[in-house]
Amino acid sequence: MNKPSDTGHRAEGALTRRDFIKRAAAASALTLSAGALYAGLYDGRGPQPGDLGKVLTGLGDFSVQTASGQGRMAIVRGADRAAMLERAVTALGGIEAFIQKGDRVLIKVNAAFATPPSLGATTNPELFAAMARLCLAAGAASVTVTDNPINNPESCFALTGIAEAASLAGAGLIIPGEGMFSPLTLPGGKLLVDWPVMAGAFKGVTKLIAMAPVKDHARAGASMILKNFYGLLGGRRNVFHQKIAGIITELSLLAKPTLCVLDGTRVMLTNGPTGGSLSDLKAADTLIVSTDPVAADAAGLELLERTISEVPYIRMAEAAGAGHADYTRLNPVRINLGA
Amino acid sequence: MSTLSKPLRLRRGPKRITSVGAAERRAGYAVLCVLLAVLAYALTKQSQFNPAVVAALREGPADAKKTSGQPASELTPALDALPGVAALAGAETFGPDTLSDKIDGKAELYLSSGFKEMVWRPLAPAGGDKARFDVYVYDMASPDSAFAVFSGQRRSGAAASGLTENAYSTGNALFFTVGARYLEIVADSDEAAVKNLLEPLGAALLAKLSPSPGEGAGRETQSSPASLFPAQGMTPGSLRLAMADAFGLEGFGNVYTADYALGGAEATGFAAILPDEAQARTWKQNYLAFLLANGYGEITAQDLPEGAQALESNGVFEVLLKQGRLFYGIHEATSLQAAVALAATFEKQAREKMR
Repeated sequence: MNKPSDTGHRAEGALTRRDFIKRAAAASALTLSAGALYAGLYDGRGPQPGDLGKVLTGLGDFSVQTASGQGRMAIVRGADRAAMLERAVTALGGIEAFIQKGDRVLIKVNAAFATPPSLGATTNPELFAAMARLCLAAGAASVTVTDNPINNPESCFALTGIAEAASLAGAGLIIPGEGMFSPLTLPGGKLLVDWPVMAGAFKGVTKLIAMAPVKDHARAGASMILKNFYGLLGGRRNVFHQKIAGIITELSLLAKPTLCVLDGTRVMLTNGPTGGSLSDLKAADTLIVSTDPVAADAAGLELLERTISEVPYIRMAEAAGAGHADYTRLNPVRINLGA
Repeated sequence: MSTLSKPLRLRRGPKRITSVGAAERRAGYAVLCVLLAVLAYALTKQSQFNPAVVAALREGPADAKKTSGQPASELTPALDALPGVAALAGAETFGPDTLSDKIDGKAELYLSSGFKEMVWRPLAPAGGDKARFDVYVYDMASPDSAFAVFSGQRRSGAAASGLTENAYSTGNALFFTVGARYLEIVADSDEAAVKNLLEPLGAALLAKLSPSPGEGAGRETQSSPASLFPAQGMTPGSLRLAMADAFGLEGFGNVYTADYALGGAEATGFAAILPDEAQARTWKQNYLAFLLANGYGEITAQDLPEGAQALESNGVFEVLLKQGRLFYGIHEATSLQAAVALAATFEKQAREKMR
């Protein structure tokens, strides 16, 4: 039965089959056009930075496995950075536990600013040189140092004293160049997607050492080991400043360092990360050396007089599997050399 | 056979039907579902937008990529031919897009406070001394903006400088504002010979950068609530201006604060003059809601000024007041007694000055 309607009468302007088909066809066409337009305009890969090649998923695992599988840490009190470093490394089993003959070592320093070492905004050149010499003494085939300060890298390495220190210690200096950056997409990453990272500096590298000062950071709360990996990013990385905790968390998964050296000899308590006044610095006379970057930062927070809740990326990095926020679980060796 | 013919009960020709059949409805819903799916897909993709694309869009054309340090600013001549010093390099200019290239994470403080451009130049004593000075001149949107970045970084315990109304020096550096400019002169050491050059260098820059009459030499004191703060108990040099997001409350800007030490207790006074009374009322309500959402609870207290609201959370006290366009109060007082006493003085002063 084909009843025109249940009620038996037809209202003016009611739908005919032809109207319905027309409208359904128009709506479908609109839907498909919108979808097709979106799909056509969507750039899933993003722009390719500099030297192309395959998209990386990380910069490597340079960690040294211990028998227990547990991270290690030494906290040394003193004023002589080189002596403190030596004692810390000895306490962790000696440099040979980390660097073997023939290793090619990359030291990632903080050389982000063209400021003198006295202002404490960058890795101390004497401490860096001491680390480079330890590696070479252990038989490392090469030691190189790098960072990617966006503004005038040559000037940054020169003024921080790191270029001269590298030269004196026999280490090579890698100045970032456009061809050294390759796109990287961190598995599961939301921010590190097709982003240029300084992969060229890692070519042939077998060990990675991260060295940073303990500093206040206006945006992140603190700048230590994990934040220092920001210097491996290329491009207009300031787009990440609004998601600073998220990007540092992803950076914690970018590479697993062999050793982390966190310099709290003088701590930038205020106006970081650049500082500027010597009154921004406070002597904390402490050097933290650890295989666990998250634990190193967590210990550094105490020098910075901050709590872990004030610097959210540390717990986020722990949750991501980059290390331990409770650094006491590493049973740190504590040494006092006297100030 | 058409799937529409029977169940839809549609008729060919001009005749109309009065109701929509189940199959029509299903087909309509299907179209709507597809539309919603497309919308959901678009919104999801939008929320996960590739940061590399965002950066590329901001970066502009390839020939404009390396914009850090363009020597193009009206301020650059001010850094030429300064007495007693020689330039170590040319001046470099940084704009809103490149400021973080120079000062990294500290850029946000400037960008949220009305930053226009910054000129930097390294200098050395003319006598060939190995010392170094880095001069940073920040051109801000207004004298208030300059005061905001000046006060936001003020080093506690620093010595006041007579150079300008807003000036202080530390062992190796001099910081001051002049008009809408904020200046930093940073030496690489605190040796006396170096330190002694800071003030003359600052004075020379001040002479070059002082605004001409009518350009606005200082902050707009007429509309500034800075003068409303009670002087008694105020920590010297603690007056600050937050241009945005004061106390973590999004959008709460142009808020002056000052720290107080009151008989063993500590507190911060705050004041903001809004464009009209309605906005003052709105921000008071917003801040109250913000505090309540963050664990504060309203309390009653004796001797509170009329209309004041007091709140407490774990031994920390807040007092909120409003007077016409002025929203002000006491923030994070460590004792209720101190909060109430400071609020009473503040209210009295505000009532007199806001008449």
